[in-house]
Amino acid sequence: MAETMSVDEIVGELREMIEVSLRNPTTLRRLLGNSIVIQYQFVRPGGDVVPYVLTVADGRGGVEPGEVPEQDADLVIRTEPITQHRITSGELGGREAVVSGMLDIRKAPSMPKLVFLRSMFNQYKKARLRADPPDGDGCAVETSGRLGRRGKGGTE
Amino acid sequence: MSHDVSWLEQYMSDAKAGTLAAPPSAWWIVTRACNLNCYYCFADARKKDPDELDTAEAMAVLEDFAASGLMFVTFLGGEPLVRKDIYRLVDHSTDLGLYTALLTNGLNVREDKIDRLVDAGLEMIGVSIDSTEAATHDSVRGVRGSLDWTRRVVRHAVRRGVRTSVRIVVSEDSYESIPDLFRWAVDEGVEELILLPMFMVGRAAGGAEDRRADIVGKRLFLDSLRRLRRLGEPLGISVPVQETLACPQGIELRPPTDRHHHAGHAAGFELSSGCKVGRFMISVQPNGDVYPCPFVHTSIGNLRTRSVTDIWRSPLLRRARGEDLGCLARSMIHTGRADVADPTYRADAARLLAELPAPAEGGDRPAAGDLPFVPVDGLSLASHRARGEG
Repeated sequence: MAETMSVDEIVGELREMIEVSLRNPTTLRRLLGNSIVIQYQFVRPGGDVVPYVLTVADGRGGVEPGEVPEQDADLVIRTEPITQHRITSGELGGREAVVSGMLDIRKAPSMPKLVFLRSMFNQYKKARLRADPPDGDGCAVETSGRLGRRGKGGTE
Repeated sequence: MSHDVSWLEQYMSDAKAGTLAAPPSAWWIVTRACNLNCYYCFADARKKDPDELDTAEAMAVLEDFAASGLMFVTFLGGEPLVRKDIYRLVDHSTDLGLYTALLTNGLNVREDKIDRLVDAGLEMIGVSIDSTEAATHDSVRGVRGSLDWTRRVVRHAVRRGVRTSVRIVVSEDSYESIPDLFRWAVDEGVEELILLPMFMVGRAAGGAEDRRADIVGKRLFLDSLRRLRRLGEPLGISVPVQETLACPQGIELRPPTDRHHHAGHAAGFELSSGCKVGRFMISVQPNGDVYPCPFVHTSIGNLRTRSVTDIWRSPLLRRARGEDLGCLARSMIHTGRADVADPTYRADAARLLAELPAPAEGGDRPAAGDLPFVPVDGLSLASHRARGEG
């Protein structure tokens, strides 16, 4: 399994997550009256911080480098790319990540926004699972594909 | 990385203060149909209700939950897996971003059913158990072989990596087995054990000694938590104890250093003290009626016609937020009303028992043996059968 991940790789994964979510009619319906702006602060191994903004609104979404004023962000997250990858792959629970400090939420969203964010994560996790089903005995297996995933039994 | 969860602590604090716009969690009896016949079933589950929410209505309720900011949904029954659309409901719930759990009795739950649930995004599965002994568990459940199914479900769920919870109702039947069940759950890699007092509601209700059974059952529950605390300490497992309320208690079986230690516990959700009515939960009935909690059987609105945020403002919940009334289920059991204080709350159990009318003599009560209680009508299968209802 990957122990590290570059900022470019995680940004690619987040873009893929948005694509998957926007293909889901449940998300699209909710987006009609909803939007989310997440300010990511990706921490590189050396400690420097790379800002990216994830935006989903009006049935479109993207992840672009840069910053928005704090009042314009629903959520500000500081994390290492590998932690974000483990969450989107289903390897690490969002709550575990938050409480362990691996995912530092610097500006908290309203609960409806947080539920909406979870909906995108969940759809992506499920898409990965469907693309890479478990092996015969029900245990997750290691894969290298873009939509690969790992169950918790096979991590670390 | 820094570790700031003050926003989560604030959320918990708001919940405790009763100031959230929506409940954090919903316990949803999606069907009353059940393939078992447990004598203490709080839902009095037998057959499907004729006015059960259909798939489209249930999905609309989930959408209302997600829009409100409600975070946790637990599907239960009855046996939720007898609903053919349960996989669609789990899938839709997780698509909406809701943390989705399901409680099953395990009977006839083959591995592929668990796999389908996990593939649909299920994040927690709970299984109920009464004893490590098949004779006891199967008798309580009313179906031979049910313990084997329960164990099989637990083992496969743990292997699949879905958070697994074992639930024990403290009764005269389960009391002796609780330490063994605790050790078994730890050995199996189960992440959470939920201990529940038996509430004299649903099928458990209706005996001549319901009030006595409630008081004694509450003592058994509190005593069981203390016993488990002593057992857990050398294993690094912290078992919260309660002194006055006797509300279902979650026990995280993995130590806090474990990477899968439940974040909810660390943030204090399950450690929140006091009655959760009006603060942390609602309970949904198969037809969309909302109860304040699974054990307080009084409707405060219906989700067919009202949103969860609207029902969350009900007068009964406002009253529960404004005053520490104890356990409203016990208010109902002892007074028939949910809007008055629980008479057992902070009261001396011996005095309460002394004030009750003397129990009826005779009957088919089991002998107490070495147990630290006198058998009470309603707290065991044997006494329930003696009523002619078992």
